[in-house]
Amino acid sequence: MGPSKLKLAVGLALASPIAALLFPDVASAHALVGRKDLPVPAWLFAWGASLVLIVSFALLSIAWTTARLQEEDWRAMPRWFSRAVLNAGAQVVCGLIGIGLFVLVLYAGFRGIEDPTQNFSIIFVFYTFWLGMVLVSVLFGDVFRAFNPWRAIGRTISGGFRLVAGESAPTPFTYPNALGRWPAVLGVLLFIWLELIAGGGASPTPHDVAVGTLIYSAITFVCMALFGVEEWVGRGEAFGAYFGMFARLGPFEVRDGALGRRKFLSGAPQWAAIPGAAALVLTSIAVTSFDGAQEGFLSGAIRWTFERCSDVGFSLPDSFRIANSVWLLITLAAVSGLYWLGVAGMHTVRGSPPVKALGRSFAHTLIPIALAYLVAHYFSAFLYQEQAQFTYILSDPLGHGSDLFGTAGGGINYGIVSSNTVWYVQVAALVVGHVMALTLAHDRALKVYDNVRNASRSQYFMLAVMVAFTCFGLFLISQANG
Amino acid sequence: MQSTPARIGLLVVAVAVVAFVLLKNDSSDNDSDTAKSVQVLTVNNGEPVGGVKTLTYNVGDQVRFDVKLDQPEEEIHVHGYEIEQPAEHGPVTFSFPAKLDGEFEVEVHRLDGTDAPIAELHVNP
Repeated sequence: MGPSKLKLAVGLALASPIAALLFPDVASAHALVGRKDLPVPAWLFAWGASLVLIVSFALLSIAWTTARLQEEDWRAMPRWFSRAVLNAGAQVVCGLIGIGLFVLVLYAGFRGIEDPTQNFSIIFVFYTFWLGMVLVSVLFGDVFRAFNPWRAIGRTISGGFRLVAGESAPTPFTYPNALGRWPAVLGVLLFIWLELIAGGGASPTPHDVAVGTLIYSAITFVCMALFGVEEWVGRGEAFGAYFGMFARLGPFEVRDGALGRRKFLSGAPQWAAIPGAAALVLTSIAVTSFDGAQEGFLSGAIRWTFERCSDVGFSLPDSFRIANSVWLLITLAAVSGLYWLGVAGMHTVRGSPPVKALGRSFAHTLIPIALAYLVAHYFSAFLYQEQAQFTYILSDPLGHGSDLFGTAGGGINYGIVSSNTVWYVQVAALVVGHVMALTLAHDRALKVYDNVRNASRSQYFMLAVMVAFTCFGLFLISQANG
Repeated sequence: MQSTPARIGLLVVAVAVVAFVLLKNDSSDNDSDTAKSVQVLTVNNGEPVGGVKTLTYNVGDQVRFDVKLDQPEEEIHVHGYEIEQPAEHGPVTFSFPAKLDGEFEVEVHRLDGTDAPIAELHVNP
């Protein structure tokens, strides 16, 4: 388990200098999971990679010549249905549920058991919320907005102010356009830092999660006061922006108080036009890559950096934090570099807009790849941890021995999926994500370039980027977990 | 179907496959031992001697290993299978069928409440 790795690190480092060479793996924040995925076998990797290329060229050969997804065909659903889902009562209930879960995370974090596998705050925040909400967003739209506890609290306070003062609270600043999604990029990075790195070789404790939640809440409320509740939730708030990004792939969206449906994927193109959009989706890909690579092909590099840091005199947890932070940023730079290299290549095609605008206008094409990475890396862990969430964590959220719903005796059945199923889901997710990404990119090119010939030419570069991302994803799941 | 991208595509496949095969061979020379014999893990002072070993089996095999200890520990725990054996009185013997594929940590839970991995159980489907 988490803390054990640190103890092991301490033990080995004290034992002898040679022991440092045997140091098994410094990075293992995912030891929460009792069963790890076996690496995808070579034959399946080869099939996956081949399939990626075959579908790529099949897509090119049947490519359409007028953009089909750029105009979003959003259509309102029947009014009674909209009203049933979006009425004030439902909004209040969702807000209250959000606030309730938020309070429970804090309470379990501060008062619950220290063991991360037994505490609601860890299982809920890192699995049910962070991973589950992505799934919900793709299927049902931006549901998080309704449950967002910060939004609910912010709206309540500003509503109260309106009651007392008779007018809306003035906001001192208008949200700067250039800021775009950049605050969310930072928020996602810090969240992942808390999950994978903050513990210094161990899993973050429930207490860490509660403190992190409080700090994030303070920042969020300050920003809401500065820019307005809805303004901040719609743009800078990390979770809203992150889940909202995935919601763009799906068919459902609320607009002007009405629930509507649109063509699958057609919500994504409008998402890209905002500063920081490319950075947000690249960050998502990078942090998932880092989590996959830290115990696989990056483990040697991280260990090396870790040892240099501890040689210089940093404590072992600090060395862990520095080494992993450095490699997280390197991963982010590499992932971003790959994308922008493709954009630079695309820029050589006649009739291209400036590089920066070009890169931004294709940002949404990577959302399916970010989603595919998440499925490939966390599918099995999510299945295991949700069993915990809805059995013993549900009945005993603090780990103090309560049995609220009679499910406290339940546990995780690790036999729920076979390795073969996990492998096929992983490879299928990456291949499907790849096809979706290519579809979005080709369609975007038809809009950006004024003739089909240039659009097709520009897509050789995007194709190379997508193939690289997808094959890198396959490579990550084919690597041993250390 | 244009020929240039098709050629690039084939090249990429070839490179990917070759790279993978090379990497695969590279990483397979670890200390995994597919032996069906009884493995022995030695734990001194709460730490595995010689580092964390990988024990490799196929589904259906009988997993058999002994854990030798130089001092009493609380228990030895096989993750996923959730088998725990008290280790307060010397060596512990494990023997159970490998029903579940995947990678599982074998851990020592020390008397002071800390724990450490001592082996990685690798069960192929």
